[in-house]
Amino acid sequence: MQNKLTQSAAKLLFAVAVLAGCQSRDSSFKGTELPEREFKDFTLTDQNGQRFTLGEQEGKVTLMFFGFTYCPDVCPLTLSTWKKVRESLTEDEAQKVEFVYITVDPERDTPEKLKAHLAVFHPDFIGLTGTQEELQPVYAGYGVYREKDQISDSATGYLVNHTASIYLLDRNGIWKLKHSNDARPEDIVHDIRLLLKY
Amino acid sequence: MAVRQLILLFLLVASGCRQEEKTVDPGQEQRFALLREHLKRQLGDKYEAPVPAASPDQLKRGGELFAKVCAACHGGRGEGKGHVATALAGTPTNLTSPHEASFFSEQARLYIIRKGMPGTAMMGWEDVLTEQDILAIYLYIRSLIQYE
Repeated sequence: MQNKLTQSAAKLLFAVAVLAGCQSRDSSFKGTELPEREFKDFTLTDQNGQRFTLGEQEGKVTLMFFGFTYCPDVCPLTLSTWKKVRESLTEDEAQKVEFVYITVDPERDTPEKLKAHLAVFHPDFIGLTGTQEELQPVYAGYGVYREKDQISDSATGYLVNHTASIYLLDRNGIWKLKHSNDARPEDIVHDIRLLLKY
Repeated sequence: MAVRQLILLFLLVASGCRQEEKTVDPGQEQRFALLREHLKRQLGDKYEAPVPAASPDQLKRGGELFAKVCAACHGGRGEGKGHVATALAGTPTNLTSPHEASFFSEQARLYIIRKGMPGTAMMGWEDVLTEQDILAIYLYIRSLIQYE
């Protein structure tokens, strides 16, 4: 009798543990969690020629990617993923999320060029450029690597090898998560929804 | 009996031809037609000017550049199925298709490489590549067309 009770209690405990485990997995992030730190504020110029200050976006979840319009692979791939993410969000959710694309090629990426390029993917995406002086601290703040890869003889005949992670900041501007550029859109949507609950 | 077999063979071949034509969707055909008119206006008399034969060096250079700047979308063999292609909203042009190539003149296709295709992810490369490099890419792309 005692033995049966012990066995039942053990089974019950096991079931509770499994359920608790499932619960915990369900509420955990799909992306890689980063050591929490507040990101240094910056002001850059968007694709409409307007000044954009990160600090003024408080209350919104921010997705951030560093790329360039002549990028032939990872950047259009990321923007296509973002498009799917944006379209998966409800309009209410989308009001609280920002997609920020910062150029690693300010020499060629003018606001006009960013505008034409981003419009192909989604009109809500924000493209940012600036002077080297404005951008350098932003690259340093995120540890962004960028290096020119000369492919043609002209002065502007280069591609840019660069860091290609997607960063997520929570609604308080805390740098929270990192996804690879080939992340599944549903995983990013999952993490955005968790961050919106904070 | 032989006549019936001949008719059957004809129908099979004809349906095969129609299948090839269907690889371009009607929306894309319409956009291509509009773009073709735009390019005719842009290029004027030069629209139909032929592009000379490629040298081995041009094909080699074109192939190297194609791998760097085109293949992610258009695929390694130009079939329009690069790893980025599946994620793009529009379908990249199948560069191996004679049907798709026939929409534009040679000068028009060179122009698209230079200036891009408006409203699509196809960028113009004139700010990055020299005119010789753009020509080399075009000559390489032309060599990918699979005529029956």
